Amino acid sequence: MSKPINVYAVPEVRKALDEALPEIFSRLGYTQTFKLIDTKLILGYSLVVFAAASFLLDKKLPWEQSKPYQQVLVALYMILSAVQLWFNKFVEKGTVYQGVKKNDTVSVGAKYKKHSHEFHVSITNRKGRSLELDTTFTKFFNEQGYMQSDILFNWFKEQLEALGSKKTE
Amino acid sequence: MNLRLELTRFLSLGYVLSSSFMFWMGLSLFTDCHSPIVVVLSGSMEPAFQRGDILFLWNRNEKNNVGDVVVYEVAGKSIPIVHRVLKQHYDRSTGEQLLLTKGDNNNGDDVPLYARGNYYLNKTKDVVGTVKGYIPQLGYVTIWISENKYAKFGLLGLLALSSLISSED
Amino acid sequence: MFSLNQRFQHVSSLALSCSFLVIALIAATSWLQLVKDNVFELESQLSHIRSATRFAKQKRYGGSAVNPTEVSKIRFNADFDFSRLFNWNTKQVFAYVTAEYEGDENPHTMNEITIWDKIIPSRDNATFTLSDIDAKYQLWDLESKITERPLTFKLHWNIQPWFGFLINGETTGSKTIELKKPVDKQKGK
Repeated sequence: MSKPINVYAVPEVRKALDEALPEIFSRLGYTQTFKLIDTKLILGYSLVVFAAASFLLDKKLPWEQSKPYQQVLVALYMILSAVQLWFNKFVEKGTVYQGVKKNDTVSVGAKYKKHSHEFHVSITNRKGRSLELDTTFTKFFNEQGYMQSDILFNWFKEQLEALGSKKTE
Repeated sequence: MNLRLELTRFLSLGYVLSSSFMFWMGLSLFTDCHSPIVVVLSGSMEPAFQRGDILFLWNRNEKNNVGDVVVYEVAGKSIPIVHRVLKQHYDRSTGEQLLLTKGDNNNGDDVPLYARGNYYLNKTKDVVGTVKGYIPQLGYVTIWISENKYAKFGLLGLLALSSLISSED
Repeated sequence: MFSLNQRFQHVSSLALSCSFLVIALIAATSWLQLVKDNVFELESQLSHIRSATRFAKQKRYGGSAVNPTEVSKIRFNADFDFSRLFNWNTKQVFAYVTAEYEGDENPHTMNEITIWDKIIPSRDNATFTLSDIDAKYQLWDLESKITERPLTFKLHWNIQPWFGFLINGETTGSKTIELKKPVDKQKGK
């Protein structure tokens, strides 16, 4: 990619890798599916809608009158936040990319450690077979902070082939 | 994909605003005060309270005691006043309590501040909350913001900008 | 390395959490100090409570021409020492004397009236031996009569902290008396 990033800041590396994945996988013949991302967005924006409703209610009605409605809104907000936490932890589980190809699906997940250049990647295909690797992002970025997209592409190509050969076993 | 990316970025800003507001609303419901945290604006309670001090209110008490410091708003005037209870009359059968207040630093009691013809405050109708907790001077920022035209927009703009730029962990 | 924004965020969130902790510690330890110094059983002496009562017709006293309200001026002696209330977290102590009593015509009411108060700014001027001190505020009830009813005079204190909770307490030396009837200056009224 064109913009240099701070390779010592894990959040920035994560963002750069996350944003690079769709292009890489489209080169490998996959189309991205957005079910997970859309659910996340819907959950998040519903929370914002509840908060906005509470805000408007606070402006329109005097305190004593608005109290029962506000109690409902705050309770709904808390419940939805809990649902979102559950979704994040158990359904999304660190997935950063999902895509489909003719007969196959792929799901890529990544787990980062604080202040470390090592991170864990898991690639799962439709049959449920997955490849779990520990790697470091020093492979994919140079010192100045430019991401080496070719190296990244080849690395994923290799992993997919390894996963594919596992499939036939 | 770009739309989703922008939506996700915007959501992080919406998140900050929504969660802060819902926290404030939740605190208001918990303490039963429409404004559970107030900043002292006048010097009528010196030397106990100075302009800029932060007060934490509680309103789930059925009656006030003499010596309590309360925040009240006279019906029709939206300026909250923070003064000490000088006299109280409490009827156990009706649950109604009449209060007379006075600022420590004032010579006379608050009757001139009450509604025309009223010599007492009504606890349930006029009292916003009783002061339970105190932190000195940290609220002076809000006085500066409300008294300086440009500070308000500048601060809001800074908040919006920083959450759009910053990356999540 | 890290941008100014990131450094600022890290530092400010750390500073915020640390301040919360420090404030909670200050409030908790000063409270424990008060309990250790046994301030909730502070002694005091209220004596020589005398009164002069008049009839008032103004609306301010809830009175009228037909039904005037008894308004009393109190004079009393007080002995107390509030130096134990002052610790590192005490900004100011507010002392006040109140008259507490139940309703007469309406037995369900509970009333408390402040007749005197004082701001005590430091430990140095926390000991008082007051004699013949005039009440700052006059005493009257919602009902017309305040005399010949049992009134309990108490001395209270209120601690204004630097950080934390406002604390109230009552001293032990309370006195219950009845005020003498007002002398009716105009006979036949």
